[in-house]
Amino acid sequence: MTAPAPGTAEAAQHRLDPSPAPDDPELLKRIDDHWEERPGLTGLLTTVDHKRIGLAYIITAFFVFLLAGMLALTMRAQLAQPQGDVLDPETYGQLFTMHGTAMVLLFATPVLIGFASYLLPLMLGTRQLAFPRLNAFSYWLYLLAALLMASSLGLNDAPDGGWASTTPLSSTEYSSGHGIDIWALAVVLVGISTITSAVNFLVTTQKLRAPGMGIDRIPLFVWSVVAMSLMAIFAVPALILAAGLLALDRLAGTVVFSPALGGDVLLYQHLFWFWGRPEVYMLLLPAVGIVSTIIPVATRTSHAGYRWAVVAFAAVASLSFVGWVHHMSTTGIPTGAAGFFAVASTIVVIPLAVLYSCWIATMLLGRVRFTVPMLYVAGFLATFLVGLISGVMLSSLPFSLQTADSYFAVAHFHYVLNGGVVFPIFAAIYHWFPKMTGRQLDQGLGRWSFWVMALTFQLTFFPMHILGLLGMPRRVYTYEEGLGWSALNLTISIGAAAFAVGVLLTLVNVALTLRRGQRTEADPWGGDTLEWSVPSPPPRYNFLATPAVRGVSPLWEPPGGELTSSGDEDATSALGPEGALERASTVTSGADARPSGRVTAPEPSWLPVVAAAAVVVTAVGAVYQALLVLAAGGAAGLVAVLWWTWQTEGDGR
Amino acid sequence: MSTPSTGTASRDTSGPPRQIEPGSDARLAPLTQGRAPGWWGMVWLIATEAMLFAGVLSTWFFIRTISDVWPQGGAEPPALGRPGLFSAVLVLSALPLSWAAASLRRGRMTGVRAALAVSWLLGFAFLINLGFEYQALEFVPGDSAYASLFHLIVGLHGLHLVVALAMGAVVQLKAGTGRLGPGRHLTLQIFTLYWSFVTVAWLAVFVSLYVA
Repeated sequence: MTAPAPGTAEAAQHRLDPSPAPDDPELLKRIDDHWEERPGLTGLLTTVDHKRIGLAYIITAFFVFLLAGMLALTMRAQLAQPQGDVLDPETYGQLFTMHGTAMVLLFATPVLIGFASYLLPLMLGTRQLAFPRLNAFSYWLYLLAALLMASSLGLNDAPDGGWASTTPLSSTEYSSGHGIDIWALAVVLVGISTITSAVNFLVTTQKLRAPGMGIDRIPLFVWSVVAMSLMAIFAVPALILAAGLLALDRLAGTVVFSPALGGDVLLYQHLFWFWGRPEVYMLLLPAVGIVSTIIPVATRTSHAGYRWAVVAFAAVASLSFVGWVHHMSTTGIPTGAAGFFAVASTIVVIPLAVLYSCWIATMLLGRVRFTVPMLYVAGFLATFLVGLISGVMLSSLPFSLQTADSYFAVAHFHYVLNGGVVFPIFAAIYHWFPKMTGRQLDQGLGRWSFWVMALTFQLTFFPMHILGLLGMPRRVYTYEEGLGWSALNLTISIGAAAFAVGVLLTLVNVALTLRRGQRTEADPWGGDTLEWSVPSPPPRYNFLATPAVRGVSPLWEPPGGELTSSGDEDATSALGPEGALERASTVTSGADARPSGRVTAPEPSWLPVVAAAAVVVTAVGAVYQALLVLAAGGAAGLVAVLWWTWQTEGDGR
Repeated sequence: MSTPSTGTASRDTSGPPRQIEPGSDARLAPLTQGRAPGWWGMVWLIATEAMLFAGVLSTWFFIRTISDVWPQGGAEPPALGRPGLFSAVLVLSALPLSWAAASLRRGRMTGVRAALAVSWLLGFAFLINLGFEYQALEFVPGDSAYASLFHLIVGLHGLHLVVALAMGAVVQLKAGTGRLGPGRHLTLQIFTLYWSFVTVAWLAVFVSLYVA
């Protein structure tokens, strides 16, 4: 089924549901007042608006991206020549640890959570996430964790045990100082933040869909976020355990990872990678969800194989839990066990191939418009494919034994993370920037940014495959002359600098557009999902009248038809402007999303930021063994949380 | 102003917004179908906490599997008697909560508060005994991985129990100030979920650490 020509918000709204009040400014003003938040910093600190929080996530994550990128550039400066003297080994160790940890935990995960926070209610046709204050709490926890990590770098006491902080290197015996403790702490905080976000996204998708949005009409991006969230629920506890036990071993005298006293060093790796394996797919699935969103819009054709795609998400999510040992193939694991995990890891390729088939089919069925978002998607398709191939190679045990911890591995994971996650993130920026800001990014500058990034990416990361096969190990701060590695390293370093220029072009684009960019309408791309039916940027309450959903691409459905009504007045009365006035959203139940009640959005509140700060203060007190700090943080946190639980009844939930 | 011509099911919005008193039934009305968002939130929280316990108990069995001698470090395996008794006490503490739910349906608030109090006291008794057991332990965490994990796992559960008791106090307070009532079960339901989880988690811990 193909789309009509792109329309304005009014046209789209009228197709779905004739809005009663575009000509009633007084009502709109009253609704706006009911959703108002306080101005300035106070408003930001007390916000419960999922869009504001989503933007905060994205902006913070991009600061981290830039910082972590600069760490990489510094490392590449050191490696550009043999026996470089830009960095000493200790500092180099801190840099690669921080680069990896920041990119995975403080950039990639949060930026995708940020997009999810912003888009889920809009795509589902509702006015709020299930737990708005919890969403704010998730963000503040993440921000504080990021600041904590950044401060450790400033104090030259950054973690330096690699991004996985593997024992025994990360145990007190080999790593003194507080760097690893800060790492463990930040990791636990981000873990909790991810879990609370996951719960929020799951319950929102379960209970707050627009009437008529049955489970076969849920947008694929939402499905990918659901898959990510389910994975987080079951995987992140392992990370919290790994980092928590490490911290306790270092600070509280436990000996879980000390072989001399009955502990086991490998246990840490099992715990860490039990999370680590699913984590990379937790990053990939929302990225793939973005791709599945943009391709239909660019080709004006519904996604081919919608159900195949959903099943593929589920398959990737499940299979990702049985592959963790392949990160430990060189640790002396019995061959039989390693073989099982090798096979399990390889099988994950199959659902990914299914997804590729869906995308290619969609592109063949329609006509591809190579808009800037679609260019980044094309970049993803090509680059991630290379990463898939190198991944299949690495999952083979004999190959892995030769190339583990070499630059081949570095090449692989940058292809799948930088190519497979960062490219879709840039696609998402170009795709949703108009919706978020009401301005359209410069498409010419966007094309330049894409092409520079895409080409320099290959220049930077492809040679790493060769380096790995030539024997260069990862995490080394320098190398000797005459090994045949010098020219390749220099190429990589030049490529990295050029890649940074590509990234910078998009940043410049964003900055210029925010100042005096071209204003845009509600639906510049001719999109099919509900977020394109509201103004750009959306009002705080998202929808004046919650639309009825009659297909998986609601904006491309023919007009007409009535809203679902279950006869339950409380539920359906929240659908229209009166519901917006009362800060209400309709709760729907069942696979076919029938109205069954309402929720009311909480008022802006200090509780989330106070609770998050209290948690962080308590943890910092634990790390530095400052009992007074710990007690103060704990007390404040307890008060905040109890006050919060008291509030929920008063809010009428 | 005009009302919409096709079925938005919204009312005439020309008057003042329908005033809903906080605490009045309309705002807190339960769903006509399915579970409330808050209930599902607790379910997912329990899922993740269950994974945390599964992880820590897997760690326990992992270390055990690779150990020649168990318990390690010459520690005596813990006695079953008193912990077993108080485990039963904790399991029993979950039962009054169904009495509380039944009383709430009938609107008998004294019954609700009594049931909550019994539950809370049983849980508190368990916690006190836990404190005594902890003190009586002959090994300290630094003795061996067995000792570390024993302390950690029991401590982790104890922490969850403390949280449950704090929640219980809040629910008791809400019951006492008229914030619970027939048709307003959600708080009690959510609390019951968490309390039941804490009970079941202890059973898993008890079987793994004391019995196995």
